[in-house]
Amino acid sequence: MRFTFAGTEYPGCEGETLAAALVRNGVLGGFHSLYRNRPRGVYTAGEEEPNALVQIGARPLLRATLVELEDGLVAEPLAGKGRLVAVPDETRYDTIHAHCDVLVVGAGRSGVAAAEAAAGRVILVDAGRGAAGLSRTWVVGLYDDNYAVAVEAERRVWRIRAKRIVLATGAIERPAVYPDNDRPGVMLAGAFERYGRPAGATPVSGGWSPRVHLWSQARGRLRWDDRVGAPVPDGELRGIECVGSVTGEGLPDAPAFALPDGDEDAMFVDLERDSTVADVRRAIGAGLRSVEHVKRYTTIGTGSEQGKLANVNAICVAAELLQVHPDELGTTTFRPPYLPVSFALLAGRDRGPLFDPARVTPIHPAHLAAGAVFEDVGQWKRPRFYPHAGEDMDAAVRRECAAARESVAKMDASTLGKIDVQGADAVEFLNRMYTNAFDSLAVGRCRYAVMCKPDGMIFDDGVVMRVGEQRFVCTTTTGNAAPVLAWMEEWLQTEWPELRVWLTSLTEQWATVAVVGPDSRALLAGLTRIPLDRGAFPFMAIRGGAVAGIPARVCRISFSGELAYEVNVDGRRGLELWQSLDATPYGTETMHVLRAEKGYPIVGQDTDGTVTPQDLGMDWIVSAVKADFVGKRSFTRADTARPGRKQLVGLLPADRIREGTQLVADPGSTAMLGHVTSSYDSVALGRPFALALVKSGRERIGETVYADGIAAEIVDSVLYDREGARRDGRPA
Amino acid sequence: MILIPCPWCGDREETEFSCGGQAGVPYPSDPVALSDEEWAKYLFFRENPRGPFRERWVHTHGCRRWFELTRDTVTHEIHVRRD
Amino acid sequence: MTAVLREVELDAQVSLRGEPPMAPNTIAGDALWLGPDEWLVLGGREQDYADAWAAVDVSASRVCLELAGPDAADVLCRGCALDLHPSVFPPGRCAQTLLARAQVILYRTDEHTFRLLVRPSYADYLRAWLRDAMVDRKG
Repeated sequence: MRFTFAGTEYPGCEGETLAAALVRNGVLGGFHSLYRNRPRGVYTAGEEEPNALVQIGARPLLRATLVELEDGLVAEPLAGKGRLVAVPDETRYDTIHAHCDVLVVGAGRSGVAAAEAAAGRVILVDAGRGAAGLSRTWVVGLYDDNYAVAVEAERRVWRIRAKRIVLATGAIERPAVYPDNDRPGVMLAGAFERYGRPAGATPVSGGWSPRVHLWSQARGRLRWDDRVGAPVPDGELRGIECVGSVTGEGLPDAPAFALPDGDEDAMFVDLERDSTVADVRRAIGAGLRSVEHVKRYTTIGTGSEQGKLANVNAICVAAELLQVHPDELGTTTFRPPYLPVSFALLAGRDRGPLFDPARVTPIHPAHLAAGAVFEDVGQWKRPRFYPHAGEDMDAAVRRECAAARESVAKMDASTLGKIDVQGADAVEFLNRMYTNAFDSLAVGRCRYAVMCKPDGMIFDDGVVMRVGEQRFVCTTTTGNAAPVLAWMEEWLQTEWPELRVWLTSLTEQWATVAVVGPDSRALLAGLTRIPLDRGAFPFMAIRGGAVAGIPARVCRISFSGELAYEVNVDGRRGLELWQSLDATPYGTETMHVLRAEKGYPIVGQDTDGTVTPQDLGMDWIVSAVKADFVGKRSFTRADTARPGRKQLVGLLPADRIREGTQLVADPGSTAMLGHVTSSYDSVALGRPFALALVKSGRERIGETVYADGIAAEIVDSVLYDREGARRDGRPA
Repeated sequence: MILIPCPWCGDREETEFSCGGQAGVPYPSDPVALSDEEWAKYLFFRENPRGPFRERWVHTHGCRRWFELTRDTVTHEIHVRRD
Repeated sequence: MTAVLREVELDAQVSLRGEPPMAPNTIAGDALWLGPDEWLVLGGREQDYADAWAAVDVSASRVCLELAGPDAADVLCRGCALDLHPSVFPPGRCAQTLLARAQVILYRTDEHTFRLLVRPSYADYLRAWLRDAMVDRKG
C-alpha cells in the first residue's frame, strides 16, 4: 500500500502503524516541537508518543504510533496543535453496557493467565490488534464500584460493570535525561527493538514506569519503588488487584538517577510541552515543593500525552534538585480518560434526531397535516402557531386570536400534567399541598389552585377537579408534570406515610382539547347531548358524557377568559376527537397572548421561583382558615412580607418590548425596578402590551417606566374584560 | 458512576435516582412556633460533612420509593441501614 | 442483526394500589410489580378491583413494544445498563429502568423475547432508537 506524509508518498505494509512505516522508510525526523520548534521524530512505539502527532483529514492530534496504515492515507505532521475542521463526523459510533465477574485489563502474559484462571463471565481487554479477548480496546477510565469505560477501535464505547478487576497493564519505558535527549533519531530502547533497530537511530532508556493510571483513578495508593525508580501500586483496593509488571515485578533495575552536567535548557523532561530541567529548577526556585505545583508552573504532564513519559522524570529531577527522596514529593493525580476520547464517540447514537426524545401527543399527526410550526416545551413538541399560506407568526397569531375571541378555536392541551389523587385522606392531602382549601369543593366542580414550596415561592399551578367524594384529578403545567408528581410522592412517603391517599399519573391517559370562543357552545351542542346552557353547566363545573361519540369528561375552564370547554378523552381517541371539531386550531403563542390579556400568569414565565402568590396579587388563593400547608409559614418571614417586593403588573409600552428587559425609572438610570416577563401584540387591544414584575408595582400604577429606552405605562395586570363578562359567552 | 442500592430493586446505576440531600431533617411539627431564624434553618441550612453522611435518595426511574443510606462523601462508599 | 421489533396491542391496563400479589420486580401472569404498594395488570379493568386501595384505568398510558430474536439482548444492552444475562434476568422478572433516554418497564417472556412498556409520547423516539441500535453488530 502507499501513504502520504508531509506531502511525500511512501510505501507501507499491511498491519504497520504510521510511525513504524515512517521509521522503516528512514524518516527519523519530520516533526517539530510546539513552542521551541525543535526538530523531532518518532520517539516511542505506543500511546506515550510525545512527538509524532499528525492530522489525518478532519481528525486532529492523532499519534502516529497508534494509527493503523491504510492504503491512500494522507497525514500531516503537527507541532503540538491540531486543526478543528468544521465538518460533521458521520461515523457511526456504538455503545455497549456489559457485565462480568472479572475484567482483565491487558492481555500480556500475566493478563492472559489471570483471565484463564478466572471463573464466571470474564472480559479480557487489550490494546493490541491480534490480542486475545477484546482487541484494539483501551480501558480509558475506572470509576466507582468497578465501572470501567473502554474504547474499542475508536468506534465503540464499552461501559463495563465488573465484580472484580485485574490490572495487567504493564509498564512504559521512560527516556534518560541529558542534553539534547530530544533529537530526531533518539527513541526509547524498547521502540528501537520493535522497529527493528533502524539505522541512524539512538536507543535510550531511563527505566520503566508501571502503568498505574487505572489503579490510581480507582483511588489506589502509590509508593515510590527505589529499585524500579518509579511509583508502584501500594496497599489494597476492594475488588481490584494488580498483576505482572505493573506491580514492578520483573522490571529491570532503573539506572540511578543523576543530572548530568550541561545545558539544563536542552535536557527535556516533557517533550510534548517542550519543558526542561531548567523549567523545573525555575519552579523550585519560585518556592514550589510539590509535584502538583511544579506541574502547574512548568505545564509538565498537561499535554495530550498527559505525562506518560514525563511525570516520573519530573519527580526524579525535582527530588534531585531538592535533595530529597521522591516519596516526599508525592505524585500527580491521575484522572480519566487515559487517552484522548472524542465527543462524537461518547455521544454515540444520541445525536441529531436521537439527541433527546421528541415527545408528541396523540393529536400530532393532525398538527403536522395542518402545517403547524412547533416549539419545544421541555421534551414536548407543541404547535406554536398554524400559518396559512403567506402568513408569518404575527399574522397567524392575529387570526388565531380573533377566532378564539370572536368565533371558535381549538387547542391541544394534552401535554399538561394530570394526576389522579384518591383515598380517604385525599382532601387532607390536597389541603396540605396547595394554598387553597378544598373541603368546600363539591363533587363535579373544579378549582384553580396554587402550590408553593416551603419557602413560600410558587412552584406550580393548575386546576383541581373533584370527580368523587374521595377522588380528584389535579392538573399541572406541562413542564412540571413529573416534578409535581414526584414532589407529592416525596411528602406522602417521607412526611405523611399515615395518610391514606394514592397518586397515579394520568398525563398520557387522557388527551385534552380546549374548545374556546363565543361559538364553542354551539359547536359542542352538535356533538354531544350533555346540557350546555349556562344553568346546567356553570363555570368551573365538570360533566361527563359522549362527545362526537367518544366517552368524555368536559370541564368549563378558561385560560382565555372566553367561554371555553376542556374536553378530555381516552388518549387513544384524542386524534379522533380533534378531527371531529370544526374549529380554528391555535397554538401556544396565541394561548400566551389570550391569557396575558387577562393578566393570568404562567408559572416559569411570570414566576421564577422567587415569586409568592401575594406578589402576583393572589392573596385570595391563600386560605386564611387552614392551620398549615406547605409554604404557609414562609409568608410571614420578614423578607417575604416586606414592602418593595416585585409585584405583577401590566405595561402599555409605546412599542413592542422584549421579554427579560430591565425596567428603569428614566432612560438614563441603571437602577433596576423590575423586568418584563411576558410581551405580545394584542389583537383585542390593538396595541403592544406586556406583563412585568416591578418593585411595589401595584403602588406604581399610572407611573411610566422605560424598557430599553421605550416608555411604558404601568397598569393593572388585567387588560381585557376586567369584569369577566365574556366568560359565559354571548347572552342568550 | 456510583451504584445505589435501592431496598426494593437492588443495585442500580445512579442515573436512575435523584438525591434528596441530608436525611433526618423532618418538617417541623409547629412551624408557627418557630422564629424566622429557626424556620430559615429548616429551609436553607444543611450539613455538609467530609466523611459518612446520612442521605435520602429516591429511585426516580424505577420503583419511585424514597429510602435512606449512608454515603461517604469522600470515597462514595455506601452503607445501607434498613430502619 | 437478527432481532424483530413489533408493537403488541393491549386493550386495557389498570394501575392498582394495595399489597402486590407477587415478589418485588417480578411478573405473575399479566400482573407486574411496580412498587411495594403498586402493581400493573395488563388487560385489567378498573371496575374489577373494588377491593384495592386504589384502582386507576391507565389503558392509554403505555404502549407495548416487543423485541424478539437471538440478538434481542444485544440490542437492548446498547442503551440499558441492567445485566440482562438469562441467569440474572430470567423470564418472570421485570424492571423499571431507563432504555436510552426513555423510562420503561422491561420484562422477558422467554430467552430471546423482551417486552417494553413505554409512555406513548416516547414511543416514536424509542422505536427510532431501537431501529438504530439494531444496525450495529458486536465484534
